[in-house]
Amino acid sequence: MRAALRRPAALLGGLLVVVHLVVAIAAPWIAPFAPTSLLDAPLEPPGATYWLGTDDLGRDAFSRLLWGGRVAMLVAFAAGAVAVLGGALLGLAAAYRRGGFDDVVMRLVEMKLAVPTILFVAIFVTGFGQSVPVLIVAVGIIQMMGVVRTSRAAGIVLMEQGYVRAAQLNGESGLIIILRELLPNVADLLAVEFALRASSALLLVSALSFLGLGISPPTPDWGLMVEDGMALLESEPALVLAPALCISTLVLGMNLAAEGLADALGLDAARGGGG
Amino acid sequence: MSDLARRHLLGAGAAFLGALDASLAQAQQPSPRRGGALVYAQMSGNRRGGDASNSRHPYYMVDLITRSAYNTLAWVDEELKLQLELATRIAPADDTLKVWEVTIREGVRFHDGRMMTAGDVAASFELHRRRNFASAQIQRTEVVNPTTIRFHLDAGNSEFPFVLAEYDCVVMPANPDFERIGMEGIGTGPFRITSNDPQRRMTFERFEDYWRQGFPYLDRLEVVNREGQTEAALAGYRARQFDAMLNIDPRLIRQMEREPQTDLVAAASGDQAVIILPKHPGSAFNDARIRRALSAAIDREGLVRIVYGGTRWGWVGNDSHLAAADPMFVAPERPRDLALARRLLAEAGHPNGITLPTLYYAPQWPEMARYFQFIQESVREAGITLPIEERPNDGYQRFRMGELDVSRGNWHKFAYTAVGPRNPGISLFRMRPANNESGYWSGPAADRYMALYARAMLTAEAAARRAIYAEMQAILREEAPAILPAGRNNVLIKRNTVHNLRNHPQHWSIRWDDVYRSA
Repeated sequence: MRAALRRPAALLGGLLVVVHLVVAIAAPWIAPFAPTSLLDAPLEPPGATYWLGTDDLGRDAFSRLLWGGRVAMLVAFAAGAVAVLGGALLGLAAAYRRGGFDDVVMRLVEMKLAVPTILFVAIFVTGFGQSVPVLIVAVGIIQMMGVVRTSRAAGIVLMEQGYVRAAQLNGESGLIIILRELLPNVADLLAVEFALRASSALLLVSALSFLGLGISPPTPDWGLMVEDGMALLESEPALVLAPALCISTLVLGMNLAAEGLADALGLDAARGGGG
Repeated sequence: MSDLARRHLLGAGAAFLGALDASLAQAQQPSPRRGGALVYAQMSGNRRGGDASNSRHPYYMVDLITRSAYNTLAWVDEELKLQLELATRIAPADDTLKVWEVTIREGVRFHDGRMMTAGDVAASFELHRRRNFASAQIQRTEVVNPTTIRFHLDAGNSEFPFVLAEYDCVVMPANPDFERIGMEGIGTGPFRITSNDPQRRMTFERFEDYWRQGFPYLDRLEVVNREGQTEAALAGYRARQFDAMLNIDPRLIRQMEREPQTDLVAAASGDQAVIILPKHPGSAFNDARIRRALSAAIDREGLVRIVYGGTRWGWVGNDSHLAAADPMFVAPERPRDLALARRLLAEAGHPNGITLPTLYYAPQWPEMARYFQFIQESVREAGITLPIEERPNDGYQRFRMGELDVSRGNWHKFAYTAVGPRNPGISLFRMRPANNESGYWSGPAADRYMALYARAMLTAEAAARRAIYAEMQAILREEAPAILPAGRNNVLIKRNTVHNLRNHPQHWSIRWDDVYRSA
């Protein structure tokens, strides 16, 4: 981590992520108004009371901006965790078992990758609703496929190592070998995968909210705010540009941090990774 | 000068200025000319667009504006008054109002060149009476002679002519297999269907043998479905792909008023939202006090002000299906009463407020997300927590309706649907107990309501029906089987080179016959 922070780009990325995280956590205390309160006339221009003006329901756009990253970050980080945990276990199991199991897992992964992301989420949301847990699972599954491929590839290399052979000869079970011998040795890779997948998940959640498939109103959310403001872009540009800037800086920060981490660990996952 | 006299004077002045403005606008309008094409984007989420096998059928047309290709026996005009269309006379055969006689227009041709007969009308209504909710009361039709047909109803209906104006009830060529009627897309309307891309696009060309001689003016008409795609439609309009956008998002109005070479055309009213309150076992809405508390807690005037931009573009509802523009509509005396809401909640055993089940909505109209967010916030003041969740338009109807087999426990949901304004007979019938929109309301009040409805249907004089309708609306306010807080005035935008495109409270009833373009 220290080595990563010595890189200026990674440091900038880390700072951006920390600032966004702090603002998201502190939003209930630092936002001037409740994010869903109807305060004034709709589309009031920016001023001393409402720094970014009011939105089309008369809510304070600045307060909504401060709150807007909370749910998206929660979904992104949780989906990243689901993707990394699930993907690593599946990928390493495929690497360990090979043969028919490996074939089935990889064909399933390819089948999933063949389904367009938006279509997959649309089907998921239509079937199970638009709640936060449903979004975490849907986005987690989408992000998981890349992790399966990466961790499988790393696992195949590790399977040739002497200590794995020794554990097999000692009669250790497959699960123990995966958990004790393979998983700890791909931890660096998974840390970078997590950063990348969470960043990608954040972008996806914002895009889904923009398309009406993600976070449901009235929850303050940057993607939703961009969608809400699009039709008014000409007359009220701040309502779109401010949340768009937040999404971009956070995603940029996460990507820079992930790349710095990968460089520091001597991995090239941040420049490649499937899926 | 007394207040009354001053008001009269002001009223007369306003009327004079209005008339002057209208006559100036009329004078500025160029005289009609034939030719040209008009492409419009439709924005409503009607969810009835068909597939390759049926999308020329009037039930499944992309925007439900069936009057481009079809006609009905009667038409409801922009003031919701009945006008004859393919009929020249509609009258009850006797005082029971159970049998109605219709004389049809002579010399009307279908797009395939055939002459329309009473047999075609009878065949078309064989289909409608099985499929259209308002026509279900037709027991049978009887062709008296080639131009006269009788409709035999299961009960008297003083407003039956309005049933004949329903947009589904178009006249199509007869077919022995009634399931095949309408599939070819052949009607008697001003335009002939030339192509259709189901759920996306439909093109029409002028029908030269249209029964209204000299009409339509346009050579071609094209509708492009842009449901839920306001930004795309707006970009298309600005790029001159579209000449008009129907049913725009109310929040665009302020922007569109400044749009160059663009006219905003508002209808006198439009759709409103029915919040359906399920009354299945275990539902909180079995208690009329909770239903009424929710109804009283909603800031309806705020809803109109914030979501629709004021009373020019929206109106306060009274928990009935009637629109405020209807002469029979009784405006609620106190649209919001927080004290009453709190008192009713306390009486119902919720002195500290209540958390209701999740209200599911879909963005059938562009403003619905804002509509329900506003309601959620406004009822909070009465101690009502109202979780809301947006669902996609696709599959929404099936989702909210649940399963007919209630033994499976998949009851219909606490949800909403959009309804358009109609005559009082049809509108008030929609709150019947056996209808999902009433949440399958039952009990003595529902019985009283339906008894009044039956009486109204047997009352030939419209003036006499007014008192009955007022009583029915009072029951709905008191019982709140469903909540209808506010509605929209439909607004379209068009280029100022497009003339005579009149907007309609029933967005499906816009006519294209008289529309023309200047050079």
